[in-house]
Amino acid sequence: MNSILKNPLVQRTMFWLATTLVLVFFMFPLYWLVISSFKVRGDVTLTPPTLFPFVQFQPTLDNYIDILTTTRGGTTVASPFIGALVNSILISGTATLVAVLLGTLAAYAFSRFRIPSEGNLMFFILSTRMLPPIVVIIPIFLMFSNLGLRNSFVGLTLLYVTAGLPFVVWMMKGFFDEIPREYEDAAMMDGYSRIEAVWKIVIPEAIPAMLSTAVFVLITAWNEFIFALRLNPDKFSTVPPYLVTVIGYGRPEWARMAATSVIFLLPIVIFTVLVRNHLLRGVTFGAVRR
Amino acid sequence: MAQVTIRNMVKRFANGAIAVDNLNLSIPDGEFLVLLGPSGCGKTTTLRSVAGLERQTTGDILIGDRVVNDLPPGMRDIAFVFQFYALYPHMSVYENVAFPLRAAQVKKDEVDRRVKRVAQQLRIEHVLRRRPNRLSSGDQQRVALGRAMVRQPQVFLMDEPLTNLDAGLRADMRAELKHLQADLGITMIYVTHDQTEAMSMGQRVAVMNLGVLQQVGAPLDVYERPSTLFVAGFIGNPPMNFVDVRLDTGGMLYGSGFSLLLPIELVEKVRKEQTQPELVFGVRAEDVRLSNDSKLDTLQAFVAAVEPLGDETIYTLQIGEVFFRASTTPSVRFALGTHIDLSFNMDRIHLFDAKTQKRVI
Repeated sequence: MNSILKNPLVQRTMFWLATTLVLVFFMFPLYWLVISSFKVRGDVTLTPPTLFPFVQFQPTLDNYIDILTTTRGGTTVASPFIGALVNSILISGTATLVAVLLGTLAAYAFSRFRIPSEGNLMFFILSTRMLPPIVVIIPIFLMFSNLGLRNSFVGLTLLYVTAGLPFVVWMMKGFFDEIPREYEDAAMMDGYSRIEAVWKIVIPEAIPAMLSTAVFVLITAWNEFIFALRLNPDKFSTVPPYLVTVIGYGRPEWARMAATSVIFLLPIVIFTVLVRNHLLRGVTFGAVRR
Repeated sequence: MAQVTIRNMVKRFANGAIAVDNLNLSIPDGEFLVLLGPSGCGKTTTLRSVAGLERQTTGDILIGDRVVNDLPPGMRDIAFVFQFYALYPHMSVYENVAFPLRAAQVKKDEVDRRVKRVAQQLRIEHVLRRRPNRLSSGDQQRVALGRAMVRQPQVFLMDEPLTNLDAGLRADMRAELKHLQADLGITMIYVTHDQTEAMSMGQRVAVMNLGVLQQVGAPLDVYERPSTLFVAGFIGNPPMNFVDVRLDTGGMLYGSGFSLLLPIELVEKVRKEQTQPELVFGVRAEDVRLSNDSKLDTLQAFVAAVEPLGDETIYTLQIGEVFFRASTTPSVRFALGTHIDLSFNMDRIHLFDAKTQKRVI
């Protein structure tokens, strides 16, 4: 028994078997989503389901054309989904950028300077994440109404920045604590100001951590539903509330929902793939440094 | 090139702890000064204050005859070599060395010329295109030195730069650094806790403890005439033997189970210096003599331990409740557990005031 387990071939086979199993377990829902988006309406709910395009069903692009275009007065124009997608990209992207930049600077200050009651402040920053967002929706709704921030680009962006900041501050502080201060000391000895030292030495070192933090902030902002639904119902509305409207009346529009979801997923996937090399270093920074 | 003067410097941390207590130190132009002391003695704080990375609470720091208290580090014309080198990981060795020149906006071809010259001096030309983390620790050390040298600063500050090297390389680098400093004729302040480094490299050694400067002097002076009990115990390996003693009117030193007659001229010296009789008797291991023939001035001792080290043998000897360590040439051999006769080189014994811990003779 033991000798069989020690056989490298057996070991490798078992490794791949386990990997495949895990992969199938996690990826199957995604696969289901993607193939459903290429099916005609009736095919989606067939029992038993059809799993293999071209073999069991003929894939079609109709769903994508349906959700991306709409006919108005006999001519084909871009559907509201395109607008929502652009809003999502702009709002989440801006919020992520601002949150990561501000949070990084704050984290640097927390890491390097003596700040009175630093522990309490850090806890306060974290505590904003402790209550479920839903409990503040009414005050925020009222505030935004009074300030004219409803149905605006700035309002929702500001909200996502606020939600993302604590995470960025905590992640980046942990990272900066790991970067020896001697780097800045050395740069300052070399004739640079502290700002220059941070810009030329610390930030280049921090980019992997900033990117991996950005991925998490982006995903949170990207997926946010309830505030987007309530605060921006008419203008600057994002994709998550729009997704709901695709459901349709009577029979659910599974195929069109799947197509919408696939497109909704793409920007995040693209961003994550682009930064994937940094991501691994960023997420594991504590483990690999020193 | 310039001299460095530290005047009445005090550094008190936010929690009230005093890191450096009224330090006065003057390092002449071109001197290699070693700041020596155990960790937490204030030596690194002193160095960082000279660098401008920390601000002293009170007192002045002068470079040349300019007070630099309020100058940022980059404007003091000083280079600093850190214990962990602090080479910028995302830059090549070339860029690391060129980095200070870029701050000074030196022209491109001049940068190139100077980087290459320094690289040649330090024998790191072959690694200029590499990233610092790909280098051996010896080369990393040289790159850190190169970055410090390239700007041709007035003063070099080094904070335990050899700590991360293995023993063999450390010995090589000690010689190399000393040579380099002499070559460049630059003022150097070198912080270490390693007495071997201090003794072998420094033109003068400044010993600090608990924020207080204990003694400044040439290495051998500090070794032979330590001015406080701390210096006596800190410098020397094996450490100096100490016995708490009391001097009686007849010139006898009494310890627990131990007594020693002081030569009359020493007794007179002590009387001149000293009022209270509580003293600490100190003698270095090499000034303890061992023999088998008992004389008037010898003491009976029991051989408690023998450590043959090859180049010398270290004996631990017991007299009453007092232990002495003696180092002898390997040819001197006594068996463990036997009784032998012990005497001291009376020209080289030390006496300290037990209260003030200051040297008496």
